[in-house]
Amino acid sequence: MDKRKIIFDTDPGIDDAYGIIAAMKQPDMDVLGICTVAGNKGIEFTTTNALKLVHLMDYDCMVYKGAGESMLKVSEDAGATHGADGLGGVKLDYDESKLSDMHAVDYILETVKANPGEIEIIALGPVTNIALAIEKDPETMKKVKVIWTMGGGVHRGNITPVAEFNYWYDAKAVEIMFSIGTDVPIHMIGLDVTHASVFTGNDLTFMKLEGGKLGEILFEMVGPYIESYWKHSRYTGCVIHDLLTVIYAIDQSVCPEEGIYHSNLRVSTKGITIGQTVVDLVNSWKLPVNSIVPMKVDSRKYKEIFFEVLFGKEKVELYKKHVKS
Amino acid sequence: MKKIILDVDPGIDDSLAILLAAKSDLNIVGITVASGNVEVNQGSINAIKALEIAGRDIPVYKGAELPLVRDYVDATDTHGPDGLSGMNYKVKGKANDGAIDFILDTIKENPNEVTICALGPLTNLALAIEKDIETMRKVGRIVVMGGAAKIHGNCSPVAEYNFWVDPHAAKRFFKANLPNVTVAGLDVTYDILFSPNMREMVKQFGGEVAQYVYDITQFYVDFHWEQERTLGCIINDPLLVSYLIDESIMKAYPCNIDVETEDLCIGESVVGFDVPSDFDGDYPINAKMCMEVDKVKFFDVFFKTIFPEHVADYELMKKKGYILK
Repeated sequence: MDKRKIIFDTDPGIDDAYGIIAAMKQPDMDVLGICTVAGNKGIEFTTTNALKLVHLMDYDCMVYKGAGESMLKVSEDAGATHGADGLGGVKLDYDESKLSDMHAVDYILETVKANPGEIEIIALGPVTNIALAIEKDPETMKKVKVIWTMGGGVHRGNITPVAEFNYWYDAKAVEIMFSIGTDVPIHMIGLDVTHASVFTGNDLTFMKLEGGKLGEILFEMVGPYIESYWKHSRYTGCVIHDLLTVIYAIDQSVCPEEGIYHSNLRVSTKGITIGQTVVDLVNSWKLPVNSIVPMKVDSRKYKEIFFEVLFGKEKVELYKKHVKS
Repeated sequence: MKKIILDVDPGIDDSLAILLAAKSDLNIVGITVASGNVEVNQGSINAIKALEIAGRDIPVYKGAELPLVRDYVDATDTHGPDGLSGMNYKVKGKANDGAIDFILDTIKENPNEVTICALGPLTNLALAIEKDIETMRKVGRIVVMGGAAKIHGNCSPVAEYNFWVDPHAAKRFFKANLPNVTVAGLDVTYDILFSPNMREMVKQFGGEVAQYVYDITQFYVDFHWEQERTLGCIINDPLLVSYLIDESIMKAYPCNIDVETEDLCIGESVVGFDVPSDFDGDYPINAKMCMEVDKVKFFDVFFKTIFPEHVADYELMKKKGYILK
């Protein structure tokens, strides 16, 4: 079987870690490389964290360091949410030799050139690298098979009332990315669906009890996340935005077909709404479709797929039978 | 009894709001008009018409002819060339000049006792704030129809007409941080659908008031069907009047509201619900936003107040499921 060829573009980050690990465990996905970008933490942190994940999973791929700052030059450190090191304070080793000398932008372009129409990019952070690649060589980037991007939101924000962190961090890059959305399918997993898919205390405890060593590590990782959600939003649990993006890339049926909008999407790059995605769900502007935006999610199915991918069929049966979210 | 000023731009739904207010026990002391759905002279004629239909003699004052900064865009595509489905009513009464002074003088004479019900662009209120903010701070209460927090707009995917047509006025209004401001926007008004079944019922009620309601809503019904395949028309403005009659009709939440004045998201209400109550920075709690509505309660107030002689018919139609299914 030919495996799906995946490049991650990411700023790990706890929820990035969940997503990357899920893809590494998914049998039909081949993670070719992990590109890093500044976002949740600075570029040195996110690169080290990517190396830690490769080491933890003993996965055969390289890490490519990318953009250290956004095109619009904002900076916000999400340290409080992700823990000081960005991975919830979990101690993990890494192997420096897995870091390539090649810049992430060049890696993306070279890989797409070598595999035209076959590369899927899963973007879990600010999309600066993708935008830089498009600026450098738009024709090559139009040969990307599909982009799965976590960011934006139609009716909600998190860093401002209307903007989501990744897209707010580099709104200019978002604008550039969606400029190829008429050639490359771009699926946007935004806050409308991620916030509808909460991992509860029950879910996470099940993972710790039945997920072996990996389950324990992942449980430990979300500690600061849970604290922060309790403090700010009074959830007992957490939203793992990036994981939903990867699970959706694995199996699109987690987002029911009738809730998926093929729309024109633009992004605000100015004013108090900077970073906001403006998605014309009702096609009132009659502009070209450049985005695929799910607005509904089957949250239970999402978690079942995650547990199956990570821990196998037997465990997910146990989950289905005994655990209510 | 609290003195109420209606600030309007009639407009079909404004006219229904005036009719509802004028037929109710609310103490309406004056109506101020600004250019919005139609320009201010036509709007004033329409306001007087609604009062004459209600059999009330309440003074009407003309205010702003144009938005503060933006070029003026009316809404005659939605409301008809005269703002009332092309009925071109003639009226006996005459409007006065001096809306801004009327607002300020009324507040000066009745400090902390005046309620302003703002159903159009916020131009008149912004001008009153500019002229004498100290007096405006002595307003008792302001309820505003405008904006959209977590739902798509009607002038763009993110903007609602009243704020969109004069975003600078809306921004100035919210920056002034006046006491006791409640806003109801599209989040709640989309539920207020005046259906063809209701229209036909009203027609059967007979009489001058019924004929008026029937006639002025014709264009609205046609527009909504043509534009968005909604059968029936959304009557935003009477909802705010009903809220003054019975506050349990809507539930409002404290928030900060700011308004975008440039570019892609111009006119958008940026509504932040998670502002800490002790926050005194750029985005303090400056309003409450209505996010839930009891539409049956609304229509009870609407029909029973405007057609007190047909309460039994209305109840029967409800019971038979002919309306409010």
